[in-house]
Amino acid sequence: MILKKVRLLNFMCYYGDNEFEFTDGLNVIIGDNGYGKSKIYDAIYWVMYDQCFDTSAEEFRPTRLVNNKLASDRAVHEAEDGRIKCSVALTFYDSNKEETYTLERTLLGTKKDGETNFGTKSNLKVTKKTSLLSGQIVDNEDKIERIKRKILPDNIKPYMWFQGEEIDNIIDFKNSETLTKAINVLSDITKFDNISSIIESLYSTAQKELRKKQKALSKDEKQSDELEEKIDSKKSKLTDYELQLKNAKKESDKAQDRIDDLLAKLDVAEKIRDLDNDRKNLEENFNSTVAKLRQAQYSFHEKLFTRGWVLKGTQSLFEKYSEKKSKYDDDKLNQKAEIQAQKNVKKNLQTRLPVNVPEPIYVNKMLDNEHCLVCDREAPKGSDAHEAIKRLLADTENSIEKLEKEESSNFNFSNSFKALYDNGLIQKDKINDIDQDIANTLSVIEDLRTQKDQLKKEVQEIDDELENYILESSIELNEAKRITSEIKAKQSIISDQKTEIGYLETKIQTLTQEIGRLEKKYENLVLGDVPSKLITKEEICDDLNRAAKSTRNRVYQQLIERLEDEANKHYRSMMQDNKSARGIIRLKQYDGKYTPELLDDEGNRFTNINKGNLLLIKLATIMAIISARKSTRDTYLYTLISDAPMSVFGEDYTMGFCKTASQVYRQSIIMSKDFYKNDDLRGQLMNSDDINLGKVYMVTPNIPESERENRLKLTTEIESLN
Amino acid sequence: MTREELLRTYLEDEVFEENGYLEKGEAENFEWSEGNNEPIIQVLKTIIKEEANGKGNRTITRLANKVLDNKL
Repeated sequence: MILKKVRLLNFMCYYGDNEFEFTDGLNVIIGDNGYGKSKIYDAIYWVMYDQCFDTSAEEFRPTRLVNNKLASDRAVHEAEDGRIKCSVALTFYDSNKEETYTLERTLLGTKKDGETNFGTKSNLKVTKKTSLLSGQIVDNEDKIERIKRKILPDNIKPYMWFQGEEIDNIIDFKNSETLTKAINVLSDITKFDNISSIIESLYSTAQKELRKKQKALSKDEKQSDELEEKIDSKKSKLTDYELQLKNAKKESDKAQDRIDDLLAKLDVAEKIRDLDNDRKNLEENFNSTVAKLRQAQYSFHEKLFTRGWVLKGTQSLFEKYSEKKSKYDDDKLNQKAEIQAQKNVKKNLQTRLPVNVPEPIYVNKMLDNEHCLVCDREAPKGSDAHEAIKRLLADTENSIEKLEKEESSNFNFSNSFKALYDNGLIQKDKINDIDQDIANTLSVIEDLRTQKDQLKKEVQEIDDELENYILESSIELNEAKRITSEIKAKQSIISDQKTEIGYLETKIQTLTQEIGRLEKKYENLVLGDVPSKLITKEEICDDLNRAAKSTRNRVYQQLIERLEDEANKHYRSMMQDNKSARGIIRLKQYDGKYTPELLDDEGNRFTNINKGNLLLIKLATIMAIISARKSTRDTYLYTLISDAPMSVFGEDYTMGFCKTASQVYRQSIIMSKDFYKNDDLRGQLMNSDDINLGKVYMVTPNIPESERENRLKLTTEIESLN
Repeated sequence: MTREELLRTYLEDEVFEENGYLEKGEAENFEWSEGNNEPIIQVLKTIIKEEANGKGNRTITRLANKVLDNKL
């Protein structure tokens, strides 16, 4: 059944009525990120499963949880009060039966006074058209489910409808169950398993019938019963031992596989471990350098004071101070000298009269004689003349006293200034060294910074190298660290299991012999003939049982071989444009389960496969399961619908994927941005002879995402490119 | 896979030739409608047919047992 048409009415970014038509072959919807490609995938998913991808929760959620996110914002904004309809209709066509099914899911909302409310339940309407019926509504829930299963059975869904990032989870390389499950789901092998189970049961019935008859014919029923009991008991033990042996072998094989796996990884693991050690040392060195640098940066500020850097540039101030101090000292000395000189003058005046002034000795004599020797006149005590002579004497004394007072009253800071000067003198040499000191300190800081940057770079380089090794080899750091101890532990398990296996094999051999002897005894007790019909029946059932088991295994083995061939064909096809293409996919069996691995030309397993390659192997294997059954089973009837399937691989794989998909699937619908950005690639897609091309659309929003703060005008234009 | 293809797949097993149920090369061209009366083939056809019809395993076992009893 192929998807013919998708019609979107006011669904998310698709405002108004929009339609995509699809045909057989590879259909592509092209658009950049945020252009609305994924919304088409979401729309299809919503119709089928009543769930839609919620980008905020990053999961598919039921309609009731996303009901307010489904309708176009523009439709909601422009709607008048009343009803708003958001719907998606899918039209599928079954070419074998010439039947058309349309599944339309609708969500209604109401708008009143500018406020919109959407219902929590959507409605699914299914219509069936045949060559005879023009359009019949299917309203029976069971019938609707049957139609949906016909479109895509649930167990096949993960392999047919997926988003690019889901590929990794479809097959888990570490869990062989997942590929085995995929093989079982997508192949006929379950049918063989079922038939084997029926035949086993039939054989058991035949055995019981025969045993019952043998017992009835026994000459000693009691002994027959005892023998039967013993045989059953020993058989039960035998089954237990066989199971234990199987488990022991399985455990041993598993351990050996793990050892092989680990040994193959040993070199890389050692490299990873060494790199990790180097990284640790570098990191310690880096942390120490960062601490030193931080300390140097802090102490840089302290040194403003401890190393006198604050005085930087004060050289001229000291010189100016020095000059001023000298001047001050000189001034002080001059002042002192001047006062001293004046004092001397005054003192001298006491012994020697200055011009027009008698010397004090004579002044005193004049006072004693009450006679002025200058004018040779009497000067009796109390007379004006006597007083005038007395004043001559007092003037001299007063003036010296005054000078001394002046001298003592003048402040002298010389000592303080000298102390400051001396201090400055000490700093003077330091000031001269400040620039060099700062330069040296800055140089140390710069060296530390360079060292830090270098170490950071080296750590980053090791990180990159480590990441590459881890990515290429799929060996995690912890695994790399414990690889040696794990090998020893596994060797110990093998050794233990070897002893156990030897013990169990001996036990089984002994028990088998005992059972044989008991069965012989049991048969010897039978008197007369057991009906040949029962013997023949038991023999036929035994043959049929063996044939069923070996047929199942043969078919499964053939299927695996075919899968390998198909997987390699798809792997090579998808890798065609990639220069690093290498290896052969092998499905490795372990205890009946399979897991894919990549071998080199000599059959050795690649251990360092990058993630893109791993995903490609998975995709090739899934495609192989589909294509291996293509001509014989209905997987060919289902449509591959994938949103950005190549997103994890890169453009090198795009054309390879498209060619392969168009060969494997009758119809595929993929959403891709690769063709949007790369015109050359788009040209190749449109003109390739190797691709069975269906419809190609380009979707473009009318408002670029960067300007899409307001979605109220948003709509998406659909352009058909062919 | 048609029931005839399925039947052929089983009949190609060496058990059938080794134990004389089929001649050499007979399995490859064996047809569903072929009138072979070998009980083992009859019972196998019953199982394949009823399994394809969607019958339960116990029912199929019972039917197969009955077919075998009738043919022997």
